[in-house]
Amino acid sequence: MSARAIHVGTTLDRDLVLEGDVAIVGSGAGGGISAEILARAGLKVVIVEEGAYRTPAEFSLHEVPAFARLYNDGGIRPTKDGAIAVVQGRTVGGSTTVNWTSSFRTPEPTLRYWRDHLGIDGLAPDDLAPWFERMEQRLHIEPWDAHNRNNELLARGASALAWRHGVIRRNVSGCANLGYCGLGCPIGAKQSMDVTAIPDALDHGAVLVTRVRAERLALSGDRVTVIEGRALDERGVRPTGRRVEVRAPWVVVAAAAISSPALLLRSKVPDPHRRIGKRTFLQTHNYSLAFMPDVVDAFSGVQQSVYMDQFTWRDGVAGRAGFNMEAAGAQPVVSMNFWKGIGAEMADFARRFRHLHTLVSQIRDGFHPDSPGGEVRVNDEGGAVLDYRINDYIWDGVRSSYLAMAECQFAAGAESVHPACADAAAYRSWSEARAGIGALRLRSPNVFLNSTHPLGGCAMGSDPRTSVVDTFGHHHHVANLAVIDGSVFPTSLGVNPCLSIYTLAARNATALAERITRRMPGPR
Amino acid sequence: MDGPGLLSRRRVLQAGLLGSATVWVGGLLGCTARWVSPVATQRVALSPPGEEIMRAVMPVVLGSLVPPGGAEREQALAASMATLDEYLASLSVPLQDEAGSVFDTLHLWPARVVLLGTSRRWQEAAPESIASFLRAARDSRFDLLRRMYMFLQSMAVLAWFDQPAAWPAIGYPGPPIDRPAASGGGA
Repeated sequence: MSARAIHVGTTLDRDLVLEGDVAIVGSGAGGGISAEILARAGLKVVIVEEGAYRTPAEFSLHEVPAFARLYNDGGIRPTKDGAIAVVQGRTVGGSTTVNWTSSFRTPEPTLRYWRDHLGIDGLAPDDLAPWFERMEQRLHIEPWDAHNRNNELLARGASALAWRHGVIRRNVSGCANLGYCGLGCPIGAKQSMDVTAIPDALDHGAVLVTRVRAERLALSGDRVTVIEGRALDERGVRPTGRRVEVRAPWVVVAAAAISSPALLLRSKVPDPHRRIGKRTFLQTHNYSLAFMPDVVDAFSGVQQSVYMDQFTWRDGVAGRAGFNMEAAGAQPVVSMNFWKGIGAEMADFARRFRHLHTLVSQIRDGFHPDSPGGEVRVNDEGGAVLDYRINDYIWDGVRSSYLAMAECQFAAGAESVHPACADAAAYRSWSEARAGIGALRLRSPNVFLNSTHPLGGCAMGSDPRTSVVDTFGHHHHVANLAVIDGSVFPTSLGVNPCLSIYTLAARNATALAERITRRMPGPR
Repeated sequence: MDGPGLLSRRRVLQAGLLGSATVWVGGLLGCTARWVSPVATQRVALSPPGEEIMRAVMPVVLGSLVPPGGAEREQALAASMATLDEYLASLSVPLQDEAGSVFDTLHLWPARVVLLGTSRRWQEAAPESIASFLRAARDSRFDLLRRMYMFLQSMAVLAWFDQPAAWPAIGYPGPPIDRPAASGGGA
């Protein structure tokens, strides 16, 4: 194996021009898998990544340094009105480097909705099964039943209420059950792109350029001719002045929801039906805090290993906002940030940290006329802004999930439950919580909401009037452009999205590799 | 000085007007008149007004978790400011500017008079005045004030709980692998 080809934008002392067969913007779940498959097909791949490339030995397990170095906008990329913080990785491996490894196949109700309501063919459960299997093998996706106390309590509450729940599968190999997945796995056990697909692609001749922000795709006719990038300083914040150009006959955009549509918008990619950026979904997360009589130590041990999906499809796929439930125990900064008290309230809360039990619900969006998602736009400076309005449909999901989480926590033995909302009180019984949450005023930003699952904005579909790319990710109007990441989903998913992205990327990058190699002259 | 409790209706209304003006005033200040410290600072993104405000706000948000005085308190606050600076410096330029604008606006004397009920500087304001301002902002009917509260409270929490010195009080043993965080942003 020859030395891996890696350029660091920050240290470039001159402008850089790179050429290849395929240029990929982004190295996360979509870009990483695409890079591996395309490089293994014998194609010269060039990957442009805004974040830095760090080894597991560089992960310190301290929270703020991790947020500063591994996340986009420190994990608080705000929606336009500041109501929801979008959490995205910004490092080699993208969000896969910092996610909590929860791996689910795309739920069948979601796939059926795409087929029946959106006319999407070829993505039925049977069509996708071999691709799911391939990714599950590649990334060691296996059930994890060594639950920490925080997860055990979710299972206990769900069992007591006879709510459907199960064991989460995770992409790990040699996991030491530390529970610090969100800060970068310090032992390289998590099978994230930075330790799997990216090194593999590099070993197959791919070139990686880090700390370079893809600013624009230059077009000539119906083709992208060059990716124009700007090198960034060591924090990845300000341009250094050095420019990077990548020229390739094929371009894959894999910068994830928000950034992928923003790149297409900045590039003024043909968009006759104004679909780019529309239908961006967040699967908004809200949280419930409880104090248990016994020590929970939710900061220790794998963070998510139990799911509860009794209410995900409660009212039919196209009915009221459904939500799932998972554990959300974490280290002090993340955990304490759910609590919006001050003074004695804050100090008393923090002193009971070891007894804290935290649940999260993800409210699926995009399956109902009242749930159109948000829209990504670019401002005058080229920055991406997600305008996502929380309407009554979403608030209904917030209130219902607050109620369900509180009921579950009391069923698990909680002494008190407190929705993560600055306007909420602590409730000492389920009946008190039911009345209190039923009457709770829901308003931004006092309700703590965030999203680690931004999806959509470059929706796939067969009709160019309602979608940006086809179901293989090929752009409807640009001949050599594909989008392969979470931005192509036409709705949210109802589950943590990483395995859905890996799988669609495997299918679509394989098809792209075939399409390219068929057209290439000569043996390769 | 006002005692603890909600701001008067009149003051809330004034604050609301200021609130809607904040974006503009803060925006202008962000571009033209960012307060520049005569003393050289090592901070990258946390401005002197920001540091002054956060040093005053943190003990109010964290209550008895912050040592009441002496070298211990100073050390804890200084370390928290360095953490906050590292965090802010990692944000995109528009977010850094927005944070700077909030601090610049809160630092102006009219803002102090309206919101804290005192013309004193933040570092000299009574903790009770800061606490009543924070509670009133949290409960305000004005979105901008509620956002201001969330910003100040979150930054205080983030800066504080990242400090190893803060962990014994809450029973957090620290990371299971002792690997000190390298300093600086690092490419």
